[in-house]
Amino acid sequence: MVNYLIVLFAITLMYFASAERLIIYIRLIAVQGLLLCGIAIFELKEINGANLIFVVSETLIFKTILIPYLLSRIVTRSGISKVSRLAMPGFYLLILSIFALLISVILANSLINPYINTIYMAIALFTLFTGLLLIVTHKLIISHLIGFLIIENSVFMFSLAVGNEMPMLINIGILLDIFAGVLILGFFGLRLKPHTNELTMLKD
Amino acid sequence: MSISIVLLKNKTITKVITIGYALIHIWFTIYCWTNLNKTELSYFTYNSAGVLLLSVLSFLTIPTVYHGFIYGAGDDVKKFNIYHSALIGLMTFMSGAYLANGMTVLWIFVEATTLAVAALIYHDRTEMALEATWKYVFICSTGIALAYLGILFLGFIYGRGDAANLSFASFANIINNANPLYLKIAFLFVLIGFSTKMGLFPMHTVTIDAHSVAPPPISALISTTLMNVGFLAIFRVYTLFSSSSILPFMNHVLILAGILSLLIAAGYMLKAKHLKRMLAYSSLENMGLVAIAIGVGGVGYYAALLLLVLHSLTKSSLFYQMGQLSRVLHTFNLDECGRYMKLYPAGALVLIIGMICILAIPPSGLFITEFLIFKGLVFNDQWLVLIIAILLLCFVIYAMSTRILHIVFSNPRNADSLRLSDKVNPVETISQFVLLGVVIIMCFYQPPFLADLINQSLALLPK
Amino acid sequence: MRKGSVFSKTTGLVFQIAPVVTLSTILCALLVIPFANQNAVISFEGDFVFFAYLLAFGKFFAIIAALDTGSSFEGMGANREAFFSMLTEPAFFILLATFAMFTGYTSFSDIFSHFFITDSHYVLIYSIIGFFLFVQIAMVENSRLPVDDPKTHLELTMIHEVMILDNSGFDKALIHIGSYLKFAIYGALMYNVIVPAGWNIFLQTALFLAVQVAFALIIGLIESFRARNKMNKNPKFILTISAIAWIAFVVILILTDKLS
Repeated sequence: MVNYLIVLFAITLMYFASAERLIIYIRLIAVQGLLLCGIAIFELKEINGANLIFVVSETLIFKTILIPYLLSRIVTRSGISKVSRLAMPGFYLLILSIFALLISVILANSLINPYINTIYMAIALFTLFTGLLLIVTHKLIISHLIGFLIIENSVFMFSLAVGNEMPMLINIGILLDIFAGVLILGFFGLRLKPHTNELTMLKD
Repeated sequence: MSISIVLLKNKTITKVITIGYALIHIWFTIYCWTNLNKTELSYFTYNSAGVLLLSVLSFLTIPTVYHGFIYGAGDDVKKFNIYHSALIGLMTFMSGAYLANGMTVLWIFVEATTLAVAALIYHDRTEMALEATWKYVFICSTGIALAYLGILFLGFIYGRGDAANLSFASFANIINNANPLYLKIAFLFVLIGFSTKMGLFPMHTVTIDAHSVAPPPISALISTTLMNVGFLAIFRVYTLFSSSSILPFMNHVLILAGILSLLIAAGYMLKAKHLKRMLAYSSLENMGLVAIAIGVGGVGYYAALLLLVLHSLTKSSLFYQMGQLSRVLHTFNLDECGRYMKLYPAGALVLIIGMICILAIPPSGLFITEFLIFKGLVFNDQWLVLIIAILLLCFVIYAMSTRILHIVFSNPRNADSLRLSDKVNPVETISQFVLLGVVIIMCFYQPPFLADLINQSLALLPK
Repeated sequence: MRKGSVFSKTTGLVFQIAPVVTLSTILCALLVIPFANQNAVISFEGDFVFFAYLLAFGKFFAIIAALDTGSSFEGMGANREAFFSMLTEPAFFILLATFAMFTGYTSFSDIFSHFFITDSHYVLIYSIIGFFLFVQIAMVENSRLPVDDPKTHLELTMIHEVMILDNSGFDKALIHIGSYLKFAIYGALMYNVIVPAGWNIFLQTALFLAVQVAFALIIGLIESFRARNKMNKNPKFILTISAIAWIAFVVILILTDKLS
């Protein structure tokens, strides 16, 4: 069952590379949160009940509901055009994404470890690369935020992989999540224009 | 304590509380000195490297607070309170990070410092400040996430058992049977992640922007002690791994990062027009030297820690001087500054002595450290690194000395933009002279307690 | 008086033989596809590579014939056609590679006769993935919507139609027959992926006809309900098919436990 969820997760990542509208990105983040919640439920059978409930509820509330809601508020409030603007033609992002999957599969095979399942490693690395690619190839700040959220999902997935043995690590990963939520709230508070792509004022 | 500041709307009470905090901090540092290597609360250990850097921090608290009061004299109460409460928060988090026992505790505190610094950078509320704040928060968060990945990789090696704090002591036993590829990847991630804080090559850009925009007393603090936090994190991991087989790999990576930082610092400093940006590049250069020192090994370890301490003292005094320069000349732009010696002789003197100190010209303590680094490089037969480093340092010396001498002695290039200057009390420069004096004394005489503490921190490293 | 082909004065030999070459390559490619658990007429190891490159050879001749006419307009169409074929090629190969990986053979006949015999629980998923991808590849290779509209005559948006603009009479008929045959080939491949090879021969023939009719229905439905993509969205669309094929590969790696 966990394998199916992980595969669906990888499919959402590939979808990121080929989608064009920002609303689709936000929906994908929500779907990813849901999938991570499902993976958490099925995977963490060995930690005690209270911790499990905390992890599951935090994933559900933060990743699936709260953060996408805040992001969609930002998008609609700023009246931003629905198409995300890229720094390079969208075609190359897809090729790079395919390469990222290839590299992560190869890396996962060479990093075999008795404590972590290879599938987790491969897909988590793929998530990391996709998040980095998204940050590097997009120009808008809100795309950068979404890339950061994807990197965070990758960290969460890594910590889930060893979560049975080290539950504290998951909790600290959640702290990172809450931090990201604060960041987005700060976005609101500072009234930053999310379609600002000319962060070039500070030059020599 | 910081929350109480925000709630009270009175400036003098804020000042009192802040001074009280600074005194508590100094007392705490003295307490740590007397209880070296004791573990407290199972999360903090007063280990030697941490205590060393902590004492630097407390040495700088009084001047920072003092200059902060002067800088914020014209602000309204709310901004003043936010500034000081964030300052106290920042110093607390940094102290926590210095004394942390395990990787995860360290990581949490570093993450907390990012938030505190963001509130401080945005103090001016200009558009440039907004941009710098956003960039800082975002890239630091990404760096922190990557560093957390590195910690997770460390956790994979550790295997079973609730390693909640991943304390350094318990790690040392299992490093030897770990897969070296995992160690390499963990080290790389930790290096890249914490290089946002330390200001080394992969993610140095945020520190440059942040230092050039933040209020000068804050720049002094974050350009020195916060970079020390980043260094401490990387140093801890380095010490941990130094007994395993990846030591040559780590040294190569560190030397590469150091050289690239030097290259970027030299290149950009030659065309820097904003004075605080120039000082920020100088910080980048010094951090590059620290990385090279660690990569060299042997004598270089001692040099790295000494360089950190002396750099903190020098750079902070220069930044304090920048605060006063802005009040005298009303601008940071190079083209519009000039004749500083006539307008404010004490400050100009500070600038010149500070410049000599930070460029590692002989009466300065940094000269000793750079000399040790070069000695180490020669011992290891790394001639190419040595030549490139010396060449780049020459560029840096040229860039910085031309700019500062120009400000101090000659007329400004845009002669019509010389504005009326406020009268600045020369008494304010006393703190800066004291700091610079310590640096100069260190060149000739290194007190034994300092040398002992540094050697204790290096006890686990291979000779 | 019967109508014959009209050849333009700027064309040469290549233009005259191209339609025949195209049809003949397609007919040869037909010989490699198996049916109903028998071996194909020509079957050897790695014959799916042979298949793909035969079809590519035919397309190559069509392209150089279009360039032979000397019209820059046809050259533009040839350019696009070559580009899109290049983008679908990975999809086809990765799909066949996944099939080869989990059955262990490299010839069409062997792959399809062993496709449903491997005792894996997920065979149905593989068939569905294969079916879906083959439909998409077929739509792109035969220049159908949403990549290319065969009915459009807006000059700047034609892709395949513009390549055959100068052909007439018998040659044009050959090209159209080639296109129909390619559809039938992909239909046969789809049939092989869906229906287990061990069943009764009469049942298989009936199912084969049913699958071809269903395929035609699907094409009709897709063409009726979709509009042509914007031209600069096409590369991304086609590359997405390759990306899906690649993900399918990783999925099958995971599901066959080769990745753990």
